[in-house]
Amino acid sequence: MKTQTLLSRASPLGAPLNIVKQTFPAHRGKPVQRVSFVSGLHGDEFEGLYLCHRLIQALRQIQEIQPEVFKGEVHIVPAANPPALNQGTRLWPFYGSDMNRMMGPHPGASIPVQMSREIFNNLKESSDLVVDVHASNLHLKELPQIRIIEEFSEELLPLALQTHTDIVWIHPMAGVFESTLGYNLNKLNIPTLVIETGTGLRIEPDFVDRLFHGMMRLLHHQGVLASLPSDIPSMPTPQVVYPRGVAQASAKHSGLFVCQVSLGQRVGEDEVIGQVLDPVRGVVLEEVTAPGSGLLFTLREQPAVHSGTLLARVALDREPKP
Amino acid sequence: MKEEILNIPTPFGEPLILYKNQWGPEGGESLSIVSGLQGDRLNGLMVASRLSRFLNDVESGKETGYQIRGTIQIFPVVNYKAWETGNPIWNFDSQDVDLTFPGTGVGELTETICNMVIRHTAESDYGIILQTGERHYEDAPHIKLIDPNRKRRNLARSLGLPIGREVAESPSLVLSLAKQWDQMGLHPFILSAGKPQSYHPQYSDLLLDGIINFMRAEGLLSYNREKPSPRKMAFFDAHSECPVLTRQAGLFYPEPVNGTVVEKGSKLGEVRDLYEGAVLEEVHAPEEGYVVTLREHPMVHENELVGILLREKNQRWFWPFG
Repeated sequence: MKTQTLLSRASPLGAPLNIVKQTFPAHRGKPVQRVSFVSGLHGDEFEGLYLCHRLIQALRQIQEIQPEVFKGEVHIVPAANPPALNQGTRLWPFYGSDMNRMMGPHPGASIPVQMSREIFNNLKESSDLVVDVHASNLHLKELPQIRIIEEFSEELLPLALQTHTDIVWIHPMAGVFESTLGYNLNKLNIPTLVIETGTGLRIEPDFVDRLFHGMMRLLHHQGVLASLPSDIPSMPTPQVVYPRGVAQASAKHSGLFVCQVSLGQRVGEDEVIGQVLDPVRGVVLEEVTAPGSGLLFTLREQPAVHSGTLLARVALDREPKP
Repeated sequence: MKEEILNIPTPFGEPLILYKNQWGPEGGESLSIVSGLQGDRLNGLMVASRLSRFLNDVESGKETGYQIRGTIQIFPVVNYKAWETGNPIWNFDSQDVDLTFPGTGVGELTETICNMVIRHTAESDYGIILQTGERHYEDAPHIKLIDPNRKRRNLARSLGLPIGREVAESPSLVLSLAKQWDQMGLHPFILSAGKPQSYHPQYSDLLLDGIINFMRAEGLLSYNREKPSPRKMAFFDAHSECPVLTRQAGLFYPEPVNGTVVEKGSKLGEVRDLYEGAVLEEVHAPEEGYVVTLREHPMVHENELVGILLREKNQRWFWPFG
């Protein structure tokens, strides 16, 4: 394993600001493919860091015992936004900047812009395939899933199916994606899978376990690893959902959301999944029901909700007729 | 006059109410003025309040000689929850309002608020956004223009600020209010002066005077004693910008050069060691130019942006001919 400092800036306080990349080169000759993993663009998302740890640990072991297994090259940037990760904040703390809204041709010269540009350019130059790992924010919990913008689905779906996440969600384009790492790399024809899993500031070991196995299988499928360790299990194929195959429940009232179901549970249409309460008056404002039958793959974690707040998403068993 | 545009119950307290002020007959020229997109931009909030008082006085006849001819709307506060804390963003969702437009009719609170602003301003001919420099920077008073065609540059001139500057295109620009207005057919102008968390009375006077002059020049307001005064503006396109970066990390001591033209090689400030006070570096202007932005916060990393110059050789004057 080769450790490289992607970017370094001296700081006024003393300790420099460094972004580190770990590389596992091909054992011999030109790599069959170069796969990069990046996590921690948002500093309150730790699931990806744990996934990177699992990958680095496993790949180091393979390199020590069977280096010839490496037919391709693996790059891992576990902590892409160290100042935010150290503070546990989504945004770059000193500037309040979102690194995943500065990717692509972004003007400016602030330190977060420079860092985003450097990471983007490095991934662009050194990758044939990228996996960008995110957790949800502090408000929602997500089953392990890969999200794909519709226009990239033809190329990305076959790759996503190899990762054995619970869900592959193909969704429409929106303006908010235009400045993200995933969108801009995909626009440059570097296939990039975006993972969402778990919740902010927490680690769900079981989710990361599944993702770790899925990522190892992806590396094997792409020929980067000639074989897999025997303890990597085979897993079920993800459920693929298209835009009309996802239904969401939102709060109709502002109050305290108390959930009555668990993430990953199958729910029936109109089944009660929770209540919105007025704790000051001791009144139930609303019974929240499932918007359809299927797999509950997003669930509200933060109980304080305004009317309109997203409470749950269900991957429908059957898409509604147009 | 003062009109409620949004009333949303909060989970545990009083409702969140957003207001706009509106004057004048409908059907003619119309102008929307927005401040308070971030919760720490005081100059805009103060200008909006002073302007509202002025227009109330015009309407009630206290300001003699003036008459309101078009529709004028002012939205003093957009990011209400951020203003409650004095931070640029609402910590609850870590969302920059000016990266959330056009929002959605039914959805998360910040998205709903943004969508409400869009709906209320959609029929306007002109839009003015009151801003300051970014966090840790002070802006000399200037106008930012999106797609600065000749008509827009001429319109901007009557706003009375000495400098016009093109906003560089970027993937995230589409999420800003100004770009959304541009796409909706409004002429958007961002007036930036001063720094966050600080009120600058002289800049407030300048902005107030400029906006009143603009309203008179565009027929939104008439005055029977004198014609609107002609103004002069130097315009700089996006390629004119010259970032000034430090070489050393430390404490930046700026020279009083903001809002002035500096020669190539002029001293803009110096970087001193945080612990021992020794001068590590003198920062000089890499080119001749107008200093439009200067660093306010002294702590700087290596390669940190401490100023923006607008290259004099790229400037084009817009004189009040015709």
